[in-house]
Amino acid sequence: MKTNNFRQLWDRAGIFVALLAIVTIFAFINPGFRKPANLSNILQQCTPIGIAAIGMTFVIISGALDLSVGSVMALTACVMVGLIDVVGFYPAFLIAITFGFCLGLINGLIVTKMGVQPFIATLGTLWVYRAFAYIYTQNKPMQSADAGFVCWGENICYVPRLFVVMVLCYLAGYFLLYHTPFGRYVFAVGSNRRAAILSGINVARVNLFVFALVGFFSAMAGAALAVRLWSAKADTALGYELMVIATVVLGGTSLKGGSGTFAGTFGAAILFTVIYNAMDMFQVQSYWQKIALGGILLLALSLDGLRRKYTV
Amino acid sequence: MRKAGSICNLLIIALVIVSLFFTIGCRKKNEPEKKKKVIGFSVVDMQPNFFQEMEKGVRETCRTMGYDYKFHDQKYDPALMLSGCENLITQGIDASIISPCEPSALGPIVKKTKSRGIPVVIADIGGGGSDYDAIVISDCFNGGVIAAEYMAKMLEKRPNVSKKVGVLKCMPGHVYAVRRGEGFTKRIQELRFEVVSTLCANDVRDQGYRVAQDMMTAHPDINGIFCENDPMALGAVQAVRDAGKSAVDDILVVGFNADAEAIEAIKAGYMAATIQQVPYEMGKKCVELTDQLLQGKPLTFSNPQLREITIPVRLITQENVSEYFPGKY
Repeated sequence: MKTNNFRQLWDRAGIFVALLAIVTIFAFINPGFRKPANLSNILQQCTPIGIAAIGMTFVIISGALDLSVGSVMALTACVMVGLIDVVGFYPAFLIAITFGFCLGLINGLIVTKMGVQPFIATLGTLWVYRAFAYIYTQNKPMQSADAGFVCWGENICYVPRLFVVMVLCYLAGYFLLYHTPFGRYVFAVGSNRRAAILSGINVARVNLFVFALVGFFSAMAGAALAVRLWSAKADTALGYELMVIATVVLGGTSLKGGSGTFAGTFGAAILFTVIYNAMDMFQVQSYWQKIALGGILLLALSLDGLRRKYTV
Repeated sequence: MRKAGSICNLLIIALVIVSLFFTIGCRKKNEPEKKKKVIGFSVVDMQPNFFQEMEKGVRETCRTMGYDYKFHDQKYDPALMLSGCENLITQGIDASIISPCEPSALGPIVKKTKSRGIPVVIADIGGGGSDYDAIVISDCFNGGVIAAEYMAKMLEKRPNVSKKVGVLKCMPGHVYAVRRGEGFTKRIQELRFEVVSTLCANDVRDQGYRVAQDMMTAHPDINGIFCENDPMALGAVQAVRDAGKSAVDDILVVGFNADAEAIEAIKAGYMAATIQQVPYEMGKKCVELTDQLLQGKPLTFSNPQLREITIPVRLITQENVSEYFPGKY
């Protein structure tokens, strides 16, 4: 019984222990790393991937996958920045996240109504949405220096505004997943689809809404990226879907569906950014940086796999 | 069976740990004891030869001028460019040189850097309208002019030449690449040639091939093609050769950049010429400008309005290719 409790605790808090250990070690060794300005940089740098990972956590728990995240980020960010100088920042932002929600809804409709596998459906929309971004912008960068837009990249006493937004997004996601019937349906669909259907859950509707959520959070992430860069371009966030999936998986969500935590995803998003940041601080050669990232992912998952193998 | 699996797993873990140690061991060592000033350099991507040369120029000049050097690779990602430049600032650099993968995203970086009193010099690509101190670029317009003069000279040697040429353009966002075509078009028209076709081939080889093919179909009497970069030129060369013609003697193909493959093609006699940018010199010039800025000396600009400083380019043909690129490039 006691070991069981410990295991549960490790499942929930393991990533934070690792994060704390790594941050302590780096802060101890590297004087640049422990500067408050650097720590606040890290909190800001993790936001685009971190926010996109919320939607991805939902979809992976529900047993599916969304590959169109990077494209949705780019397309909605381009639309938003393009509209800022026309209608102002806040309306543009609202339009962009509504648009993202609709793009996700389209993914969901393709999956549920046409019966296309999520992997293939979102692979298709990955290209289509990206192409729309190129067409909309003619591959020219969209820029804006609107004060209401740019100010979101600032800090409130070392805490980046974007990080506050990210925390709020996580709280919203947490509430939705653990304190609503919808959240329970997501777990049910992910762990046993057949049983979910038999117990009367409208699986198609759950799937549809999950994909729409991914679109929504991807649009939020795209907006965060645009705020950081004061601009957007059709080829921003290229390949981010894989970074986002890696973050969710490192956070302990199983690709088989049915299990996962938001706390884990949150910790993993920060952990990845810390590693990236530290590699810059230590002047690790750029060719080696990807090896380190891949290595960490493999290390974490193989430890997890070993543990499962010998304890179940 | 089960045992074999676990050994395999352990091996993977061991491998991963070893590679992690390697990564940490591979960092460049810096000794801050001497209180040397530090120059930070952030580069677009370390895969292309062009940027490797530029990095070499910056690094070696930093060493000879007595600066410490910190480096960052953006890997073509604007978000990484921003975080990398922020990280350079927290590493305590005194001056920043940035070769931006996305000029339009330079705004927040330049603002952050300059608000700490750190000068910013941009290396190539573009300044994106940000508040940088100086930008070092190749003299692209003049490169186009040189290419036009070379093409005119070569074509006029031939009897009954049609005086019709075409241009393959880069994507419209690339401000400096666009200037190459402008320089070429202006000069070749002054030399009374006709530019019968100007098409965009999106920077890449396969599109260069396709567009050049279309161009030759539409204008069978075309005599020369100028390409705003070398990958498109190599595509065009292939298209010309597939049409059973020579890209040196029939349809003269001139590229821009002096990429390794283009140099090999010129050496082998497949391609007529290219214009070489000298990234090493660009990197070197950036450090020299940074040095002047740190000492508070005024800079002399080639174009004061945009704070541009241009680096000359040179024509590479079969006659001089082995002189500039002896051995394998």
